[in-house]
Amino acid sequence: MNAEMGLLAILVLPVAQAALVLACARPPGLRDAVYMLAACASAGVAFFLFNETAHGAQAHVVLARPLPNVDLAFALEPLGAMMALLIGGLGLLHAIHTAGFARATHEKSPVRLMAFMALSSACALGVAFSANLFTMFVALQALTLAAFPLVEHNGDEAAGGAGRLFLAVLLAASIGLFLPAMVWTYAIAGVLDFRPGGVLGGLANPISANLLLVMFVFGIAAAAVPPMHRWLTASRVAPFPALTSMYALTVLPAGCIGVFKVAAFVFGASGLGDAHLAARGLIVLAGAAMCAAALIALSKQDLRERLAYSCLAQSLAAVLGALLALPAGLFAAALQITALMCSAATLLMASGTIAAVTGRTQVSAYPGLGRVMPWTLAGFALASASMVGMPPFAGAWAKLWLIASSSSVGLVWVAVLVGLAAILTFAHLGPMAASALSARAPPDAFIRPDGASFLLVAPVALGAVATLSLLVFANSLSEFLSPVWTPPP
Amino acid sequence: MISSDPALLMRVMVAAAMAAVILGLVALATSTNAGKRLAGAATVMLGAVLALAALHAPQIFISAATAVSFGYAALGALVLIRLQEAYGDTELAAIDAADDDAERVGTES
Amino acid sequence: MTASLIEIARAHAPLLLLTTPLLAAALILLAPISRLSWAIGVAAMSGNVFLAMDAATRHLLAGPWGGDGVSPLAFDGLGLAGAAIIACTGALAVIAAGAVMRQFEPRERPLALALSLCVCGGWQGALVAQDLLGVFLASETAWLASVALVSLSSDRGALNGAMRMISAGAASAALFLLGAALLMRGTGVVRMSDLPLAQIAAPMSSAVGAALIVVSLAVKAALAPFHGWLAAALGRTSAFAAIMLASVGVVGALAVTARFAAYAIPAPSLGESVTSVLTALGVASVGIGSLQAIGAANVRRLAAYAGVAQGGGVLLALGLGSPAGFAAALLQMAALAAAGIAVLGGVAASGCKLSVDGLDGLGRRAPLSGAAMLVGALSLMGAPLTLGFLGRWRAIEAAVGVDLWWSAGMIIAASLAGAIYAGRLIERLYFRRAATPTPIQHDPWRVVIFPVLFGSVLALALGLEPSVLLRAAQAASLQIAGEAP
Repeated sequence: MNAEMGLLAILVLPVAQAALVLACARPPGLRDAVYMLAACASAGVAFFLFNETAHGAQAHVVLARPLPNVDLAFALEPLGAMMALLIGGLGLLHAIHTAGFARATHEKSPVRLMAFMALSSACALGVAFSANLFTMFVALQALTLAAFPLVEHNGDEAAGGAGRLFLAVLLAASIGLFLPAMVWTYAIAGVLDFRPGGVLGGLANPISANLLLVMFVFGIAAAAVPPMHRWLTASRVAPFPALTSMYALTVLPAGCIGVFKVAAFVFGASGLGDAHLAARGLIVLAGAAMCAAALIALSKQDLRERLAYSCLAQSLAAVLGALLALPAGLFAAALQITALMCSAATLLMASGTIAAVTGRTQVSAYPGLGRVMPWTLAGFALASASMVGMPPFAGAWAKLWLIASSSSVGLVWVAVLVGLAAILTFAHLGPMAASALSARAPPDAFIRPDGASFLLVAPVALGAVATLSLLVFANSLSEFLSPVWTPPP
Repeated sequence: MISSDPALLMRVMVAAAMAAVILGLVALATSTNAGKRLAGAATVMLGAVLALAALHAPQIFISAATAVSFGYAALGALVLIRLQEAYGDTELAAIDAADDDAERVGTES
Repeated sequence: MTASLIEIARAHAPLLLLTTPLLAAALILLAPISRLSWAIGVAAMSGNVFLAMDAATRHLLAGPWGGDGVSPLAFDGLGLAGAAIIACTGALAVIAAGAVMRQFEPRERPLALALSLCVCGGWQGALVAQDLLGVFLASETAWLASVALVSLSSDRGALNGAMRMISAGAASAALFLLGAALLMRGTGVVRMSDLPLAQIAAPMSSAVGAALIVVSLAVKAALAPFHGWLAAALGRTSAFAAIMLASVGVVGALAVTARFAAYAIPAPSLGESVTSVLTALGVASVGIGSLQAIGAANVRRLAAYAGVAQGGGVLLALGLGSPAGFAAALLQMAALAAAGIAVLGGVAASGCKLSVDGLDGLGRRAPLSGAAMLVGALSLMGAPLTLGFLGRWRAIEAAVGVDLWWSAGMIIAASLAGAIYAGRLIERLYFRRAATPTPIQHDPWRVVIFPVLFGSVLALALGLEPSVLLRAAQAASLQIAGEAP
């Protein structure tokens, strides 16, 4: 298999996974086996692509040319390969967890849940590997449509309302802001391709550059920069596997990667210099919103709601890094996206396991659960530590780079905001994890007589291990990603 | 006297044509009875044919306009009769109300 | 022998586009069996598709072309492109008639089919007619046939729509005649192709005349504020009449408007008034149509209002007055025809209730019809990789090209509104469960409706690979730049 085949395969495999799950809906054993095997294949291909990229392989696949000079095209580049590895690797753990969750909760429509999660993964991979703004626009639109059924999955009134809000925010931002920004970029630069160093640098006048940056950042509503974050908080009504998919694997990370790509490949350092005012304004907004989200999370008693705000704070840190217009800032953003995906996936899977076997979703019901579910709660605690930014977990390196890069350009207040957000994150996750592990075990904790199955516990434990990954790989990742911020000679 | 001044004759004819067109359009827009609307349609077409004549349009144009006017009148009359047969009324408000009722109980074509 | 026949047909293609459907209509009325009538109709429209596509291939895709000379019926860029769209949608609708004809009384079936052919022939005639008289006669033929077709429905509610159509049609005809009289008196020309070079003696009355003609055609294209008749007619008439009206009637009137505008805009003293009227009607249609589509509770009325909004987008693109704008307008017309045929064809194929809640869960109960409606809805909302997106993109690009940012903003606003009303359709189709599902009909002839659903395949395929369509639209729009007659 060459790199081009691999690129096509990674985009097609999740779609095939969805089709296979629909085709093999019964018996449940076959369904789960097919779902997990397909996830395993995706993870394998993702690893292959990562390896090929590390060895300098390049690939460019054009699927269609719907507009003159604009292709529906995907390109293999380091950022996409990193995302693919994360989506593939964590996706495998998530697939196992989903199978366990569906069995434990006697989920009514597991096939639909699995199919749309697989389709969402395909679309998120499409965003990650998009070779130009148009392809990213298409992939983001498709991601919105694929994730919408996940929000509406429960089928009740609340889910319907949340689904409509989700669709309205993401589609309206996409059509109302991203689309005109894309046309405007095309009018200015004559191309929509992603190029290291950007395509707008020196071409757009300051007013256009500032407006364009604002339109792009808010137009990619999946990144949840306020006030476009409402889809995220509204979608908490979805079941836990869907939340894991949206917050940790697909929608939110795709939004972050979208903003990253716009900053790095459309604006570049010189383009962001032209849009200095907007960039600073957005950094202020993202920094303030990051602290506010972490603070609001503290007030939420429903764990899904608390984790939604917590993930929002983490994603805003990634946006903040991307807007710094520095290689160090972009690297910090890449690390933050990695940390967000690993930590959020682990936290949400752990919460899902707890909800499935104990029925508890309120923060006040967590104390002592670690005594009866040690593996799950240990994973929960490690992932919380990573979200907070405690060394040696993934979040620590991301925040360290974020603080260092913002300080290096004299934005000390950004470093202060990052530190403040970390403290607030500790406040809303730390005590909860500590009391879960240290308090006395609650009587009759389980609603299922057999407790948590292996399928529910193992992914959480392995996810927690993944949060340690950056301790080993941060340096290699810096080298691997360097072409992203190094313009070709 | 009028016949000796073709310009004046033309102006009078154009004014009459415009008046007919405007009158017909007002009738089409405001009347609540299908019969009156049909009369409005006939008036507006008559005004248009008059305007063509007054503005010295080619004869074939006038003939075509007259033919089309008859087409509207004939088809309109046919629809008017069928409306009367189907609803027992030609008041558009009553017809709309009957349609709304039918739609509410789900009787569709 | 065959080759020489084809050559003769090619030489007289404009005349044949007008007369073939009309002759077939006469034959249909004489045919003893309704299925034979249908076969005659299908054959006539297939011939029309061949002629139109052949001419489009030869004239629009094969390089520079100087027009077809001075005969009363001749092709020009926009007329040919419009005629090709009408021929294709008309043929699909007539093929589908085999499935939906039983909504008519048996003795009325041949008449309905004959009238539908008159609609197609009329609009095609208006697109090849070179003088104002020809355009008037052909479009009135199409319009009167449409009224008769709508009134043939077994539902008495259709008569109400037909009466509104007569009112609107009479007003439109009168405005056209007045406009033509003023224009002919002011410019001294009868042939539209002479307009760009006309010596205009009375600029004011000529400008008023041109504006009246545009308004007249806008009434027939159901553009706001003259669109009331479309919702009334579509809401209660037969499925066949609804498809013909939305996909052939409205698109035909839009294409004739585009063609007239292409001749009038380059003319001295006329261009400004025509673009102003086009733009004003476009803004009103986008705004009013979108709002009404969002609030519609009947699928057909929703499609009607969505068509008004999409038609507004076409007029906004025409109002730009540039070749790029005209090319974008052609693409939007093709998208509108395909989306209309997909959505209304899907409704007809499934036989579901016409209220919006009748669509609940239809995607599962009737997967093919659901898929067609899904694609139609996606195209209406301008989702990427559909024909609707292509049209919107080119329109925005054209607006930006002439620095009319507010026009681009209006087109984006139309897309946003499209996301709401088309999103509502999609939600109903796939994310709701029906409280009382309507049984899906299983008449073997229903299979014939599927060519109509082919419209959805076209909307997708041409969105994915639009190079041929783009080339054709660009070639057709050169007429506005004076590179074609």
